[in-house]
Amino acid sequence: MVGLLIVAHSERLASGVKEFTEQVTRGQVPIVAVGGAVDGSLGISTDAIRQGLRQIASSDGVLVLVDFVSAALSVEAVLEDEPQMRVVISNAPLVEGAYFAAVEASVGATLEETAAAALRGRDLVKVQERWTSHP
Amino acid sequence: MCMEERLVRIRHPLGLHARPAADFYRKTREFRSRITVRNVTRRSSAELPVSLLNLLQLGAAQGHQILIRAEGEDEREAVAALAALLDQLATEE
Repeated sequence: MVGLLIVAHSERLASGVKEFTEQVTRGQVPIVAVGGAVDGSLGISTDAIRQGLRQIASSDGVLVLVDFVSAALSVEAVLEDEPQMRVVISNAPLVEGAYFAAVEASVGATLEETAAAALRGRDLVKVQERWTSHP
Repeated sequence: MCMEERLVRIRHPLGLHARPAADFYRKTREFRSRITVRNVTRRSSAELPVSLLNLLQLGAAQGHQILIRAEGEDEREAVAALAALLDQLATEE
């Protein structure tokens, strides 16, 4: 099964997304959260990303969901030393992307299908005028 | 052409939110029939092919009625299983 790596600038943000995503998929998808700098402050640790990737790596692949650009750049830097890993970094919004990806992975989707599902998170409309205007 | 449909009421206090929508979607993937959903309580709601995004976009709140429609070799089983699942989810947190 495809695994998810959540990378955010805050440990609590990353683990919160992991908690939410695990609950909606009832723990069926491997998810690892990496967040914050090594001293616990806000930031990104490439060592932690490397460890997280190794923890979750499989032949089915890993989809990485990030909060901001520098998180994606850090994952790319780590992957330069790990060319054998099957990894896709998603351009999706973190929460929606993790949710859509995890549900798709849980029904046995491939890495490509899981990555496509994550991007659908960009289309989610949260407030629709026709809802609020309904009597 | 044959088709099976059922109107079900959403009883969960939070409506068809993230987790029940995910459960519903995953259940639909067990069947081969073409499945659509429509929130008949919202006047402007269209019949949509089932997908996780479309389920979330139904805006299905507690008390809303959802029309589940299936067409295909296992249409009866699909509609029965999906209606039963919504009933079961209504009693969860």
